[in-house]
Amino acid sequence: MIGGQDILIPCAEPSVALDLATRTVTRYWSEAHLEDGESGDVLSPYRDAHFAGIREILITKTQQASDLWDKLGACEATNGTLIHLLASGKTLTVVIDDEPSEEMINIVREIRGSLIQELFTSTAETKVAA
Amino acid sequence: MSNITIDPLEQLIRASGENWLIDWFAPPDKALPHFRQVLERADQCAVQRFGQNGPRLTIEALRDEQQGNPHKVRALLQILPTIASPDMLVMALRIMRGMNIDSMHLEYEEEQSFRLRVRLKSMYDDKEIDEYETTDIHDAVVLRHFGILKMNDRPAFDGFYPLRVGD
Repeated sequence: MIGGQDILIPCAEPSVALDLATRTVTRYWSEAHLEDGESGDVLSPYRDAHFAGIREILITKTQQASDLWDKLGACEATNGTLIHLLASGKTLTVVIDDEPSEEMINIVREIRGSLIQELFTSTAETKVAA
Repeated sequence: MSNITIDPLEQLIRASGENWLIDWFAPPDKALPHFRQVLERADQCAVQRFGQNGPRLTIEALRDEQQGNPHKVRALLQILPTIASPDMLVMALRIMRGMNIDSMHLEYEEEQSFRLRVRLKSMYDDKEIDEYETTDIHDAVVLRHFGILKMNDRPAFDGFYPLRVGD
């Protein structure tokens, strides 16, 4: 990572964007470890995660990768194992390695593609009671 | 001094910002009884499938969920006016709690027939599988809440999200 690069993606709602992005990452990293980036609270597993009021999520590939990050920080050994999501206003920032792996590039592409749907405005119809 | 009691379901809906659910319902005063009935039937379906301690669709359970994931409760509420099969609400809840959409079969012939079958698989346990089926086209409302993505260029429907409701 070493500093990492920020990828800014427009979004409509921060909590939805964080949920959608987190879920996308966990599809690639099935043993992902999720942490609130501000409080350090563990959010994983996804099924128990809450997104209200969360502004940053640190997703490491595994619990072991998370432990390694705590111990060594950004270095060759931890490369390709962390994605940092930050939601602010109408923007989701995805922080990845300076020189990301193909997997990380794919993940970011899918997050971006999924969030485009989230930008659309739809209305739902009413139904007359029987 | 008088005590004003606000209906818990109305409170849930208003807190979600989905006032249109009540205001647009025809007639509006029938909205809450209708939604309450749909939720009660859905909760019964959930209990039949997963027992009393499984995922629930009571107003209390939704209020708890609203604390941690208000957007998920919004997504559920948004399908209430249209949904025909309460079991579809259970399906939506299960997807939001981490089930993957393993397969989906849609059969449709104009003015003839509609059938939607969805199989969910846990992202944590391959053996945990749910199946849902409906023949009422109103239940197709769930499709527009599915997230759409590609995994290494392979297709996946994933997640169940709220729509942004226009002004």
